Amino acid sequence: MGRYRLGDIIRMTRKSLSITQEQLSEDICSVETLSRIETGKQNPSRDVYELLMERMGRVRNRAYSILSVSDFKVLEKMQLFEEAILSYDYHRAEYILEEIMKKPGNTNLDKQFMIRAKSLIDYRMGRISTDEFLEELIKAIRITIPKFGDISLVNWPLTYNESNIILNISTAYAEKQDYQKGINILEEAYSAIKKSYMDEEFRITMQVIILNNLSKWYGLLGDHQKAIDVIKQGLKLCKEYKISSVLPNLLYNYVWNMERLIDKGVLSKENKRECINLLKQAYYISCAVQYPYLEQFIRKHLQVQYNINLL
Amino acid sequence: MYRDMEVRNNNIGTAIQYFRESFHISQSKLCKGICSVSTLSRIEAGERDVDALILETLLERLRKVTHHFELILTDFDYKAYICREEIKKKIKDKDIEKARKLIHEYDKLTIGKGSPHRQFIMVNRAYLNELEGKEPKTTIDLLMEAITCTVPDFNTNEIRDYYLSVTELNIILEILQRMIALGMDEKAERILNQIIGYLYWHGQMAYDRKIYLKVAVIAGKFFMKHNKIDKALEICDITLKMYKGSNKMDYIGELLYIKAQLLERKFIGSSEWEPGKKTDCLKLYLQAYHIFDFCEEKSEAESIRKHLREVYQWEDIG
Repeated sequence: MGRYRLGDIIRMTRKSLSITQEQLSEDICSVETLSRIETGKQNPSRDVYELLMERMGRVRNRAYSILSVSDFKVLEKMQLFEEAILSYDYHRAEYILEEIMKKPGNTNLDKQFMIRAKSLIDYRMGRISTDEFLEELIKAIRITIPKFGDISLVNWPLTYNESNIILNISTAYAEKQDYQKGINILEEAYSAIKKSYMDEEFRITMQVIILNNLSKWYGLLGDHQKAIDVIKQGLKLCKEYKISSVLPNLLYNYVWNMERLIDKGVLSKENKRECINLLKQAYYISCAVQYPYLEQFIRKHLQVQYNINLL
Repeated sequence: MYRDMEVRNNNIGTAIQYFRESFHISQSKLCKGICSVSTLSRIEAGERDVDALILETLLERLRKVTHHFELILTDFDYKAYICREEIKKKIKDKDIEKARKLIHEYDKLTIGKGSPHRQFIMVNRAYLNELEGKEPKTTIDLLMEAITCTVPDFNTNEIRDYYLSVTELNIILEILQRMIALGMDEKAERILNQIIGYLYWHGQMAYDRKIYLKVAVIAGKFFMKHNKIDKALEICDITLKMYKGSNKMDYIGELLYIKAQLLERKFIGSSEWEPGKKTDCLKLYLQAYHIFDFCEEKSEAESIRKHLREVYQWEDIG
């Protein structure tokens, strides 16, 4: 979610459909006008904007601050849905989704949200396979980016919803143990999200989540050094923007990768001291930000691996 | 017909009306200081193109943070938005010259565009004044001028009747913190109690958690200084409960640090200062320490480290 510029919305939508300015502007406005609109040099009139969007199969929206789904009451519920997903409360998420489905909107963006939401719940509840999940997600993303998979997204101003779908797609690949594919998708999404108009707080949180996943998968592929580099980037963002969402996870991943490097003899045993300090840091931060599951998990790790009992 | 419905549903004005009515707020209370009632009526009817910052302020007064929406901006709105972001960044980076120049540009760009723009300019002039190391009283005056842009009777009346946006509340807190720093405790306490009362009164309309944490840190410190330990502890506990589920660390180190100090003051030297209580305090100090240490807030981290060494003989801090 964020603030998007009118001209950019038109330009990116047009490019996603691979149509030319000539094709889009025909009988609506001149090519020169469209070009000026796309570069932000001119504001389209409401009629022109609506006609352009309609030709591209999008909702005809007002030419200023608008909501991109059909109904703001739905938008509020979508927010609650994301929160439930983030706290792993799939039953609540499903309940919220059912509420949304009672009065489904009929715009492309509503459809996109609902396909993703339903398949995510079904997958997390074990009702569909990873392949089925992946298929649904790709269906969803192709509603707004028809050429997904064939074109580069590096310069795409991804919306919040699109970013979420792409994150889910990469996770699905990782769960099929295709870590490399997951990494490739995330690396591309990462540079797109950095350039998107998403609100800073949302954007940075998403970046940190991506870095956490990347570090996990690089680690699982055995590239521990790369994993540690990625973790350091993540920690830097957490520090600068005071984000706690996956901070204990990043610290734990740091230790996990260091432990592997110690086992391999790449790092000396003296680095165990640093592991312990990082785990303590992760533990007390988990307590402070009230993540009981991680708190227990890290406490146990210190007990089992290092014979250290915390307060 | 279908098209009309769609336009209506996609209109921010409809959203404002919906949220306003669901909170049972009258039009005049919502728009006070921002625009006229007739303008708000026209916004809600979707009849008028309105400045995006005014729309955002109205939404914010309804606790709808604008980043929960996807907004498509006209070029003017986008230009103004980018300029605001730039100014904030320059102020954050302490780039006085560029900030001054941008504020001047923003002033020219948004002339006659409404009170939220004036407010934004005054707040940043206040920050600029502070960065330049000028008279602290002037900073407070500028911030006062900023808040009265949209809360015209701030100095004379209670704020309870308003529905304030997070931006407006933050300006009031900025004033409060500077008053406390200058030892204007009497005036500060009046404003602090007003804010606590306001948040309690408007409790059913959840604000961004950050606001509660910020208020709790200010209140905790203030009441600790004036030896109202139980009052301060109560505020800490309520706020910590509310913090659960947040994904941000702002103010959490401070709040845990204050709670640790309050508990220690309450029990130390009394018969209740037993090992269990001591461990509770120690744990709180360690949590606060690790947040400060991670965020590189070095002086706070160091003072906890020193305290733990001297009072708890605790050396194992990592």
